[in-house]
Amino acid sequence: MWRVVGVFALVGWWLVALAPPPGAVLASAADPGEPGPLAVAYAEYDLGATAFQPSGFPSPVELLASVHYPRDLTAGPYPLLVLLHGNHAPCSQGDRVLVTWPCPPGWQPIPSYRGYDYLGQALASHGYIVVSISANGINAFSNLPADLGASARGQLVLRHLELWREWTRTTSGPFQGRFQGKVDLQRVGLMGHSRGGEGVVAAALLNTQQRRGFGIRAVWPLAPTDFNRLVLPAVPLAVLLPYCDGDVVDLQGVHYYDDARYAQPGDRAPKHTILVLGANHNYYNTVWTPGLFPASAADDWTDFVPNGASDPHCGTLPGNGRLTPAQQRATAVAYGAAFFRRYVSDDVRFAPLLAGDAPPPASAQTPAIYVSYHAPDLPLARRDLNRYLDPSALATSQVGGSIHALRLRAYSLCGGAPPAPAQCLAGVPVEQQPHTAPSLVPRPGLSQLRLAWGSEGARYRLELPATARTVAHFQRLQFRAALDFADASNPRGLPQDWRVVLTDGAGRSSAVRVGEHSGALFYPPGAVSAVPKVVLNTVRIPLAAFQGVDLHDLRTLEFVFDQRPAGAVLLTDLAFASVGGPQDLAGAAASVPPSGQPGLPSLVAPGQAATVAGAVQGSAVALPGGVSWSLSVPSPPEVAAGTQAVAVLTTTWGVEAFACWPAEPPQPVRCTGRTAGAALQRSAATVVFGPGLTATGVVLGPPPPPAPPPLAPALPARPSPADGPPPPAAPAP
Amino acid sequence: MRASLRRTPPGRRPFCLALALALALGMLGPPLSAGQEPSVLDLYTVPGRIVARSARVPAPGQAPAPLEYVVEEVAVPPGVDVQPLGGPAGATVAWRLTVYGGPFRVGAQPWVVWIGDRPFAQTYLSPDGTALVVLLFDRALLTSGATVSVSYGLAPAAPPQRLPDPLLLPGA
Repeated sequence: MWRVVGVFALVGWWLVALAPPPGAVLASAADPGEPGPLAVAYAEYDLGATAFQPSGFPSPVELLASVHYPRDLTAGPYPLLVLLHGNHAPCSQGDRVLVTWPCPPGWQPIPSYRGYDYLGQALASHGYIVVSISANGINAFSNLPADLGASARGQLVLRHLELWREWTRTTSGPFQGRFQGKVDLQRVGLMGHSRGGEGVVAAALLNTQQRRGFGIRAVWPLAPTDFNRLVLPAVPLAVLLPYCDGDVVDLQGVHYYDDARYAQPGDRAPKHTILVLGANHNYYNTVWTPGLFPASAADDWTDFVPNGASDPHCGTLPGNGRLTPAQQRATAVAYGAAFFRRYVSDDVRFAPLLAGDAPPPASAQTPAIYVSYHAPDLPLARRDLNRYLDPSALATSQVGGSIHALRLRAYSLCGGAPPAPAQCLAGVPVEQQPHTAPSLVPRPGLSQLRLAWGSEGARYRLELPATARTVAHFQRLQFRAALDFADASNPRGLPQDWRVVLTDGAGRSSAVRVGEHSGALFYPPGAVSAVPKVVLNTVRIPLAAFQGVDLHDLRTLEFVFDQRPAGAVLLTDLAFASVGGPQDLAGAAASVPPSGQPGLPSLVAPGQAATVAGAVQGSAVALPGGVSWSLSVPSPPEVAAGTQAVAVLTTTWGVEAFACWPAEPPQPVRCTGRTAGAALQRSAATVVFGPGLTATGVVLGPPPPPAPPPLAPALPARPSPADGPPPPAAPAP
Repeated sequence: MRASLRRTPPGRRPFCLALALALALGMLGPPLSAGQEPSVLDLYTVPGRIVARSARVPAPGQAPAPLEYVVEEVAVPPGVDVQPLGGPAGATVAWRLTVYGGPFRVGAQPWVVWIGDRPFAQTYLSPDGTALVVLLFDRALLTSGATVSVSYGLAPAAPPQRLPDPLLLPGA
């Protein structure tokens, strides 16, 4: 009898280990927009239309939300994602709207929170509990506070998180224990649309300032407002910018990325922008989409922008570049899922997509998506060559080398603090210059280098001082750039291009054409009203593309403007960088080859232990649903304090990784974490400090037990993932 | 916002003004009822003393024509804290600038009322979307002679809509 129970327990443990693990880190490519494997259930909770009074807000608001979640919660706890809609009419009656709260008799609340059901369904199928909250009460009066409701929205998000903390700890609340122990509030992601974008940024800031204790690991403002110029460092950030936004027409949300870049020294949180050409503001919410809800729905571009319909890109003329509502939603699913799975669940497969190193996935349904990527401020992840923040950046780089501008037609800073001009494109309306769009809080925009050429021999050269000549441990050279469409030297409709030349101490040079590696230098489309727009996107060129130069002894970096006779561009954020950092495990996982004896796990049953010997030492213990690791490695002399290494192991799941504790030389570096699978016998336990700087131990586990007999027929069938482990070994009954 | 304006015979102006005010108050919401806890929202709806108004007056029985304004002095009810609205602690009086027009849609951006080149984004939108109300706690911000205009957001795709009549205050 007990033997049978033992077999069931062992097989059950393997079944859990095979389930898509929250937190698993795999190194293979995937399309994030594809539906996940889990069946999804739906629920709502409604605690009343005036159940919550935000501090500093003139009236109470509702606590109402939808919940999409994995139907089978047994493999939880699952991460929690909170979605927050933006400003919209609160009440409707047929096609009429009313701006007040609560809605009077005869009027119904507009269900803006249901407009992201498509996102909730998609994300929940990947193992998330997705809560979309209603904010109609705030919308009725959100223009009255000086911050236009940003704090109230942030408080509302945190109030819902508090409710979930209660519901995951107790059987209280509307779900009566359904989610008890099933919600991981240390893995929280936030998405806010429009004013909701400012709301989720405010929520993350309040969470830190007020020590609320929620593990907010990713913040995604979608077409956001940024009236208050909130600055959110230390939390991974992705701002989605719809190019044909007819509501937040100046794409002011790009300030979140721009303002956070250098706000906090040592900031380890990567930042992204995702520019979606052809997308408008409202189609990301189905309740705001014409034909899907009777009141207050609109195509904001054609309805709100004067003559918008006649624009060749954003309008309705034949050959336009607009996305359908379904296509727009597909971009949100693809990039939203990539972002949350990347940072909330440490799924590194999506790091290249978010950095712009991989093209948009098929599920996004459009190739016209461009990204910016700001790497963590860690010595092994990013070395800034020029931030272009003040006039000294015209003559001296961030690393101290001299700069030479040769035969350039224009070479000056713009967009930042005075004396630089506030706008980079003189005479062009501000809504076409998002990086310098005005806000309620007066603050300079993005400081940029305006650079133009028109004659042979035009070059921009940076000398690298002795302290900055070794760059071999970085993956890419990168900078942000956009065409100056107001300069007639850029041929309309054509992309710009130039060569980047690296030269080493032996005088060897290697040149790479920007256009070979990036589409960011495209001519921005549109011709009516608020378009074309200047939006800087990141160009990332692999250092491996510079053949024949010694990346340990680089002397100069040059932009050689010989691919087009003339041109004018805006630049910023020139750096060597890697996709790396505390929560960015892709580079580390991808840099370590699989090892060990295939098919022979080191641990097969909960409670079993393995050891790690060699340069990396430690132990591992099998738990239900994974393996817990405790590793230690001497801190190499090259590693600075605060550097965060990554532990990489080959398991029955593939190559897995988790972050180590920040280095505190001369103390050994400690790495504690979990893998979803069991490490293979005699596989390597590798600690990666950076490219080319690793330490390795060997995993030594107990010998595997004999092979099991055929399984009892009463056992449930399990899925068999392609990279899953072999059938478990089990004792004979 | 582009409906035609109609002149009212001078003899009917007092009546029309009273009607317009009544209409305005009706559209903005009910006044504070007895026994109800005073709220900062009441400042947008309680009756005030008219200080100035645009020369255009709506025809009897009609809603105010697009882009008219009224300036009123409003007593701050005791116990009401106006600091959430950006007012000073202990304020006892406010000036209410109401711009009629629209309907003003609800979206990501605030409707901004400009007095001259100074923007005011903290605007209350009447429930039916036909009036924007700005509360000011410094009368000096009401610059007599200044143009009044309305825009959707600070960086609007469409140019601000300018009211036909400038702001004219008595004693200026």
